[in-house]
Amino acid sequence: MNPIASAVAGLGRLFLNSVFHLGRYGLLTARALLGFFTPPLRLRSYFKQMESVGVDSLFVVILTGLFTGGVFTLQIIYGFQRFSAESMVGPTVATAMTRELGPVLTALMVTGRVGSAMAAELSAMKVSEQMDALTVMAADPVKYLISPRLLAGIIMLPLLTAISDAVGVVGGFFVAVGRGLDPGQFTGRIVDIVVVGDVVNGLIKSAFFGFIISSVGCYMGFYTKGGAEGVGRSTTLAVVISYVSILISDFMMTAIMF
Amino acid sequence: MNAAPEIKVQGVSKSFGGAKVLDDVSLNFLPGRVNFIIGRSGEGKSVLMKIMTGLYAPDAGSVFYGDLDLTRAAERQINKLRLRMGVLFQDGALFDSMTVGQNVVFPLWVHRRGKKAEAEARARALLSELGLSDFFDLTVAALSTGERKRVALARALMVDPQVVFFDEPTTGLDPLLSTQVDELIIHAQKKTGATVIVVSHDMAATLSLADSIFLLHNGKIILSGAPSEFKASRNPEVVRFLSGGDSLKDAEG
Ligand SMILES: Nc1ncnc2c1ncn2[C@@H]1O[C@H](COP(=O)(O)OP(=O)(O)OP(=O)(O)O)[C@@H](O)[C@H]1O
Ligand SMILES: [Mg+2]
Repeated sequence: MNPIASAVAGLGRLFLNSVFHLGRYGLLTARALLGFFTPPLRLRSYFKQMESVGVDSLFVVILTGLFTGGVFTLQIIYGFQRFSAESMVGPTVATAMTRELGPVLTALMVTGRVGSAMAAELSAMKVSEQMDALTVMAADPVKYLISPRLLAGIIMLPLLTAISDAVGVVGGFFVAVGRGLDPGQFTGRIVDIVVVGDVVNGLIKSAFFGFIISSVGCYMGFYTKGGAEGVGRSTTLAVVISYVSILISDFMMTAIMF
Repeated sequence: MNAAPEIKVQGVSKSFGGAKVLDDVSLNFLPGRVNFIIGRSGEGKSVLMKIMTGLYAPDAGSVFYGDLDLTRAAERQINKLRLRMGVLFQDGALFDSMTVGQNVVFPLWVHRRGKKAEAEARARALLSELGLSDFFDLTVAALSTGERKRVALARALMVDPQVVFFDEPTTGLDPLLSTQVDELIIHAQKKTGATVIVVSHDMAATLSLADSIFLLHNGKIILSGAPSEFKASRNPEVVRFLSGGDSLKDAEG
């Protein structure tokens, strides 16, 4: 085949592949969403996932938020002091945290911790026939395994983000005070300038990120092929695809929202 | 109280990427009796079991439970059958995120069937029948191969099944435990009147326990019948299988 023909064929294959995966992903996700509404619901599995997505991520999210707020303040404070705009340091940090840094960094951290674990867990269940075992007990693996993970992602990410936002501002506060700002100067105008919409839109974004993390992690795990090697491959892919999807969808949502 | 359905496999074929594993296989299982499927490693016994439980779709053919053709039935109908079906997978397929006890009560728990205390009592009783009295709260990861197999067996029996599939229930168990598990299977069968389908490499157990035996070779059932018919058979493949059964099993681990 000549190079042009083979390039066209390659592109065609890539296109068909993407359509195939997107379609299958859409169907799986739709089935998982339906699972919220099909009895009997086993709440234990939902609580277990909320714990593993939310509670278990708390420490790393707090740590990330604290240092992000801190380093952001370090970066901006010099310039703001030069222009005697000290009172704007607090509002700037708070805006950046709630609109952007809180949602995105929390989502990236949780992807690394939870999205990869979901992919690994489900693919291990797949290759060791645990999914088949569920099926022959008339327990739909999608409803039993994926629905709880999906809901946990959608609910817990905004909660974690809210915490990250708050801790980020606290981190910024300490750095600013360390650099000679008055505590009152930092906090004074935050409430005037940061509007509820900033916070809410940030949280909406993070709910969507939670959806991406869980659905991509579960998709990769659910359709694993080929033994232990397959488990590793799905885990890596889950993380990479989630990262890219989070950053792209963040751009699009931000363009629409703010 | 327990109407075991007639199970028939008709003309089932299945290939994986060009390799024909099952070739026009037909079987009639004796309802409410103990049926053994034997055959060398890789002959497609587990694949046949997965087709019969609706996990794999055959390329051709049907699997009837009474009048219901599993290969053409709606998921909802299949699931109704599955509520009274017990399946032991070759490698156990236990849920490793759960304890032994949670695994065994799972088939009832997941459908909110029965009372929790009753289910747990039943699970404990089954476990202790299998020599696992103190295992209820252990995590699955801590178990040996034989222990896993027995926990999986308990899980398969939890639903008070009408049909049970056991894929090599005694492989990996020591001789004493093997006998114990064989006895439990027969005992459970007698008690429930279920149709039992066992995949096995253990020729001695097969010949002494089976009501009906099916030998799978090169994708076909080459002999089916009572143990006496197997012992009397002059078919060279059958003779080889019966006489070499043990050494074969050893060679293939
Ligand atoms: N999902 C699958 N994809 C591809 N090939 C498969 C699949 N499942 C089974 N096979 C192939 O089908 C053949 C039969 O496998 P099967 O597991 O049924 O053998 P078996 O009779 O149960 O053997 P053993 O006694 O060792 O358990 C094997 O060659 C196997 O590689
Ligand atoms: Mg097998």
